[in-house]
Amino acid sequence: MVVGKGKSFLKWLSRWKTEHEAMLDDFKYSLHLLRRSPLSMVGLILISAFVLIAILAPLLTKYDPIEQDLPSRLQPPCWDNPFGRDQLGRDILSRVIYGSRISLRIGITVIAISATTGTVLGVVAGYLGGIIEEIVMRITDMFLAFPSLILAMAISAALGRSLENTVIAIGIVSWPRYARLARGLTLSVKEEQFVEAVRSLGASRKRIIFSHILPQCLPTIIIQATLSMGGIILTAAGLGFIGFGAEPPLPEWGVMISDGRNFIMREWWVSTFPGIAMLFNVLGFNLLGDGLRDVLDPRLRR
Amino acid sequence: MEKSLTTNTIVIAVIALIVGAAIGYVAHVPPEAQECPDPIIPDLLTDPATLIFGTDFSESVSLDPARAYEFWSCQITHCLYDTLVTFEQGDVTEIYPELAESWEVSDDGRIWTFYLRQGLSFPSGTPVNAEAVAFSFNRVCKLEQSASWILTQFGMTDGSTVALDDYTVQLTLDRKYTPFLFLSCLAFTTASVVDPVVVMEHEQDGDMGGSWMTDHSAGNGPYILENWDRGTEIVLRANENYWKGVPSLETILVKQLSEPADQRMMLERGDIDIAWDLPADMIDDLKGTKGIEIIEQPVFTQDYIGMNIGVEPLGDERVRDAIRWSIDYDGIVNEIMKGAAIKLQTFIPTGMLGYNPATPYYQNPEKAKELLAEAGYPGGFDIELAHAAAPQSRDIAAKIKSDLAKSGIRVTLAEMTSAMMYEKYRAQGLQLVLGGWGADYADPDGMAKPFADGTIKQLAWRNMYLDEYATNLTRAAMIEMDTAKRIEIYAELTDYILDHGCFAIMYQDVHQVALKTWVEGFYKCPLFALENFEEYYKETIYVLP
Amino acid sequence: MNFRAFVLRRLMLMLIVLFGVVTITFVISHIIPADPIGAILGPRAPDELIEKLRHEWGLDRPLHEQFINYVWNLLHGDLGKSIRTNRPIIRDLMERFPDTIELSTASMIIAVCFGIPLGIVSACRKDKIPDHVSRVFSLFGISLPVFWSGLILLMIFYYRLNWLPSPGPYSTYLRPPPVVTGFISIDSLVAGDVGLFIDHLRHMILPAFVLGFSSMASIARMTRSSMLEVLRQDYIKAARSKGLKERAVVFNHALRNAMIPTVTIIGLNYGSLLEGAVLTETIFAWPGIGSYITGAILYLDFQAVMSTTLLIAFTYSLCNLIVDILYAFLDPRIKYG
Repeated sequence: MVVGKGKSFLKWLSRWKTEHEAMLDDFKYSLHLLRRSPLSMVGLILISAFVLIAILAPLLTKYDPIEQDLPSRLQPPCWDNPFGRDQLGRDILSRVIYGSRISLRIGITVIAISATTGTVLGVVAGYLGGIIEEIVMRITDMFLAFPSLILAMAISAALGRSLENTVIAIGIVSWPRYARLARGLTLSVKEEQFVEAVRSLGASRKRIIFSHILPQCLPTIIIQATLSMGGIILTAAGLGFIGFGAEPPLPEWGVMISDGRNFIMREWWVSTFPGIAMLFNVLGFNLLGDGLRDVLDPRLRR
Repeated sequence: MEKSLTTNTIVIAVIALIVGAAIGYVAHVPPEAQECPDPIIPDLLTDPATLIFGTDFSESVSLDPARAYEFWSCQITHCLYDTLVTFEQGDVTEIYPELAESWEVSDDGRIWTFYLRQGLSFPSGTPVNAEAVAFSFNRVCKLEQSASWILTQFGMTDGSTVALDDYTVQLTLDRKYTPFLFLSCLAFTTASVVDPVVVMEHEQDGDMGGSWMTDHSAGNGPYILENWDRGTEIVLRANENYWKGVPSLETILVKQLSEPADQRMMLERGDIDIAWDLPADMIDDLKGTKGIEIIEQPVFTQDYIGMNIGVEPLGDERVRDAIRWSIDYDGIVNEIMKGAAIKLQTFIPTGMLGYNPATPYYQNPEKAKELLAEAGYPGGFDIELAHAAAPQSRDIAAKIKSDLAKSGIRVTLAEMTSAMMYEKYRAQGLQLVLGGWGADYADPDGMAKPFADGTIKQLAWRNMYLDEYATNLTRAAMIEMDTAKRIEIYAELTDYILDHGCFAIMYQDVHQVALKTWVEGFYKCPLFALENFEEYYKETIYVLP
Repeated sequence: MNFRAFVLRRLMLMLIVLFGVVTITFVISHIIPADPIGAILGPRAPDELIEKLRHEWGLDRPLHEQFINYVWNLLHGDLGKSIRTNRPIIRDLMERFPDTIELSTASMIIAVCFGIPLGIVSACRKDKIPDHVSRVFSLFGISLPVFWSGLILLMIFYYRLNWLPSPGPYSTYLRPPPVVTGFISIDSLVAGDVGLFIDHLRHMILPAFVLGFSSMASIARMTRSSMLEVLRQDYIKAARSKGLKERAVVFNHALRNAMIPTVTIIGLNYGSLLEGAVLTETIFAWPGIGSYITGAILYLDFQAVMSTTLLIAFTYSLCNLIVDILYAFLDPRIKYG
């Protein structure tokens, strides 16, 4: 019976492949172009490195990122502590390593929340049109008119300082962009012939939206998501600087840089190493996103 | 069309060139040269007639003496106005006459009569007489602002101060009080004497000039407020007709710099003369730097952990004691505060009458666990510690958390903005709180009331602490006339609160100020806001090493 | 739909958006269980006073009443009074907004001066080394946390090298010019004080650079992609086949059309620079609305938060509107509405 199920699955898979042959070819071509873009490759390598570091964190360091050791506070980099110790004696290397987990967590959670909400809202608004579209778009405009850092600050101040609240604040700030993007894409896809065809065949609205329009929007949404990862991490850092953001003693990079800014003139290592880590992490996402944009831009494809 | 495109391109290129050149030129224009050379950087010069402070005074709301209550508000107000009596040179144990030459008290202690110095006048020409004093004090009582309680706590109201004749003024209190207590309150900026004519000239909607007084001065003090550019600077100009003599510094600037790193860089470069808010580590770094001097002064501010009696299990004295035995006081004072603190466990700080040097508590997790087991919590318990959103508070709170963990107490840290924290604190809604308290006047009563008296809505009350014995002692000390007896009462009270109160007092602050060596005559008063800027001056001749 | 109707419709939409902004800010400011009066007066102020002031400021009235009051006052041009400074907010904003505008404008100039050439270079040498180098360089701008890079640059160029002056809008020993417009640069020229003018510009260099660096990326990218698209057009091929030199082709033909989308990006970025100023202003002691609103949020000065947010949103929407109009104007292919 298992074999039977397996066979029918394979059959389904090959049928799916032929149905979506064009899309798969497109996808393969995109990958090919991506591999030829050195910047994207560098970005991909950087991101993979950080993801690996995040996953392997406990194996990479023997120090607990939260454990204090006051007598050794502000110790400069040495063999035992390659990144030195901070103002409470905590090992900075391990805090940077565990910090990558936090940054990735923030980024992924925010994107998961905002991208899904925003895209769905945008596609629905774009497809249904009329008064629904107007209302959704006006609300989107309202949120977009806010400078994002200030809105995030206000929400964080309202909810209190914690990692969860930071994610919520940045999520609320980010969803409008996806909504607007998705709606624009929906408007252009809506008029295309294949949609007409499917509609005349009697497909339900829900099916049209989710099986046909949404997949068309995916590439752009993915690019937007990758590009915004960097901004999300920087916004979280900015919040940490002002006094919101992740709560101590969590080793979030932005908070670490901010905490170290009173030591920047002598004990430079407290701010510098998390700063460099953040720089490369965000740069990685930006490089990949930039490369992806080139690759997937229909105007620039050969 | 081609031609216009070429022209366009040329125009853009020319503009870009000009912008680039301008930036280049502007970046190479040397700064204006001035008078005094710095010993280490020969081309670093300074103006001997201007003193520049670098600090964060963004919390200041008003420079009206009836309203000023924040640190810099009071500090500036002190330079703009004179009071009846004062302290000198930072010594807060003795009262000196200022606008009042002498005074006497009635037999029942309720009526105070002050005999004023004659012949003084405000810059506007109005004489500084009893009417001005009466107006000023009655105004404070009438307006009822943040600092009014300094006078109203003695039962003073609008009308309690009366001008008997041109130079005699009489104050009526509700009962007798220790003279030093009352006089030290009169030395505080709330009891400043303002120019009644100028103030009432600017009255709007019955505010008694309050709006205008926010950023203008109407006093006969050593300095006049020239400008307050919020977010940027406060500018003071010397009062040419100051009766004690024209101050040596013509101009005093207080520059708003919220980043301590900025303050430090600008101090070393000579762009400011005094850096007020440098943290302990930066001060440590600067010690020994040529051209920079560090002044350290223990001040009447202390930091504590407050324990809310109403929250289980903090109601049990043994639990509170256990917490006191869990904290690593030495670690906090020596490692984190690094010289910016003195260990203190009783509520009267060094320098004040009644100081109690007892520091019996130290980190002893075994003893703490014993006490907890006795109280019925052998496995410890969970509790929340609220603290402010400042780097120092964060570090200390993190340390407390790890200290208490060793005794089995599991602490959750709750960082809050001041707005949130005060709201909850005033509603008796916090559990453990990391807080600080600064005295407004130099009398120990200013510390006793908040820490021991649970009937007043201050610190003890906010932790739901109400102990009749402590309250009675506090009240007794407030009216005790014999100084020796007072000290006895305070010794008793401080010991009592040490062991039975709802606080774990950790340390007294030492304010560290970094200044350029060319600033002379500087001293830091243990009580905030009583530095006399008119006594500072700058060296005009410098000998290069 | 004709042009006028288009503009009118956009204006109306802008008003609706701004109303929404005010509502959202009001909701956020008021769901906090915290006490602005207590925060401003500090821990030593007695409780009775706090109650009294709360009543004076109308903070004990029901929420919807406060909201209606606020909107009503807004419609009469009254932005309210700040609890912190005890002055009409419009005075606070008039003092501080010009400083942020100056900083944003200077940053935009720097971003444009660097971004456009970088974009052109990228486009003309696509996929070669200059392209990669300029792309990485501009991406650096949006990968660095501004508060960190700002402090480090300050340390290097002011503290160690002393090539650039202290944080702040002008040197500590100088006095500001008499207020005419509120813009220090303009006021100092009006007062004839050229030394102050130059001093002010010098003080603006570092913060403008730090802030402008972050906008550079999107300007460079937009220039690059629109140049690339334009360069592939037929009329470019025609120009090349006519034998024109590459430089002439790029500058005389391609650049002008490529600039249209870039101009829109510049306009959009200007609005977002107002936000970036928040962090930069703190590091460089710049007295603009970024630091003002940060303080207002920390002290829960509701009126100030709402009014300043409104101002920023208004400026941002205005920039968008102008950009949209310009775009519709410049590009004949765009239909209105």
